Amino acid sequence: MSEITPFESEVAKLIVDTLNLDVDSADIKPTEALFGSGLGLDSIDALELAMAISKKYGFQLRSDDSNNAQIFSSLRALTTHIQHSRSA
Amino acid sequence: MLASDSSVVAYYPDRAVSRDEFSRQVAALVSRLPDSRYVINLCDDRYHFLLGLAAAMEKMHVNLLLPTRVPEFIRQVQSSYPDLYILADGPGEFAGVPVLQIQQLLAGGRTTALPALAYAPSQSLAIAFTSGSTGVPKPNTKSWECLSEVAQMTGRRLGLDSCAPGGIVATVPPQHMYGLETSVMLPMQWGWGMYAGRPFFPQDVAQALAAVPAPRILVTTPVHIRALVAEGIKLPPLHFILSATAPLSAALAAEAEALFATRVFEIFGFTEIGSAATRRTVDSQIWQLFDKITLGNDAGGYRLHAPYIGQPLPVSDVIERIDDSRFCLLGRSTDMVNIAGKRASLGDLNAKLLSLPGVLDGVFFNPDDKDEKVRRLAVFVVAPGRSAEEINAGLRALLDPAFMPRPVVLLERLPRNAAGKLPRDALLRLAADYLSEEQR
Repeated sequence: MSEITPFESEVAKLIVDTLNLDVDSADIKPTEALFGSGLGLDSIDALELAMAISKKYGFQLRSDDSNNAQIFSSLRALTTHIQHSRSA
Repeated sequence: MLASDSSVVAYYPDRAVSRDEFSRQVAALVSRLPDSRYVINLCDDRYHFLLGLAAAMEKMHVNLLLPTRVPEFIRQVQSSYPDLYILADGPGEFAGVPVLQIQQLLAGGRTTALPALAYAPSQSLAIAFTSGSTGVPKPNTKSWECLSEVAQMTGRRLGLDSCAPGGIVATVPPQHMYGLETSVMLPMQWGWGMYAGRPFFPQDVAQALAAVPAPRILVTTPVHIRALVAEGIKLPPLHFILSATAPLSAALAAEAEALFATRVFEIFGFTEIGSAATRRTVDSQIWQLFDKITLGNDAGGYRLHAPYIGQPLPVSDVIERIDDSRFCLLGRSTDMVNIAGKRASLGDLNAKLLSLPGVLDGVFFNPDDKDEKVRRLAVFVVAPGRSAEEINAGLRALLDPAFMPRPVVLLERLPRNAAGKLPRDALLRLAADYLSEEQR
């Protein structure tokens, strides 16, 4: 598995802090599922994260044709989405 | 199902579905549905859901509304209602239950229009399940009369009788009572158009509202209102916002009213009776029941009476009765957990925890509500040799994700008193010792 990038660690920390998760952000694997059987997040968490992301990175998440599942599928997918949206 | 002559049934970002098209598609679907008695309509697209609902009514199939999609719950329902199919518009597998894809059925169905749809008031439209204190799914049958009466009363209360039809956008799914009543039955009964999608993020909500004509109604929850306010998003003019599933604070309601230049109403209800009362949150603590519902003070507690329910229904929330049409809500029953609108009995959650292999003792802790931020449950558990991950894995198979504990705290023993009970203050001390400020 590929190494975690510094930006991925930053977003992992944001996830853990925002959702008060009982895990060490360093233990979140970039390709592991965030929802369902992975970290076990649900849609309420997605909304909380959207607020935190908007506050920290200054853009608002949108799910054109409901691809939430894709955006939040893993730490890597979410981080990539944040990077793209920030530079857009 | 339409009560008025309004020509649009549903809106997509790029098109509107006319009443004619709707009738043709219902007919197409009716011609392709199997001869079963029950259907679980899992369509995510609200217009697809409506098509499935209307076609099922035509075929006299009863819709089963499930509070969760946890496989174990579906298995329990299936064992009681074996003559069952699932109607869906996306991927998903459910052990042993046939899944029909609505798009495929529509593509191959006959397309002549049905005659005007008419239903017997007593026809069962849906069975809404609650999980009950024992975990066994408890069925609540909803007749056509019951659902259409509630939609009529809701519309009259909110002034839809003196207003041209517009569009309704909802962030809640149509498969739960609140969503079914306010985002499917309400528009159908009053000739409004529904937005077919289910917007999620604040930006999505703004886009969805822009895709429907004024007057616009937003059907949502305190969690979403908080997100909309936090992002300070700009929304198209709103006729009003409806909120339910959890208490909304007057402060947040006032912020939303100011920011979106609208009014915010809350709906009070529970699965057994459906929507029953409203209040404008900034105006009053007092809930006003719908015009055909009365609150009795019978032996054994408060009960709601309505002509479309068989017998008076007990109110499980702690309320103060003002008169037969008004009350104040003081709190939830101590056994009832409400996480982001999903309800469960603490007794049942504890029983499920104790059923896990290796668990000797354990209890769910339900933090007090402080604001609209959703608080999660915590678990204190005695399970020598087991890890928190193992407890989580066991619970995940049994519980809706909303009730998954954060965190699981492993202890050597629980501070039970001499009678073997765990008083609330003992739990609060545990919480103070083991949980962070945000977790309690």
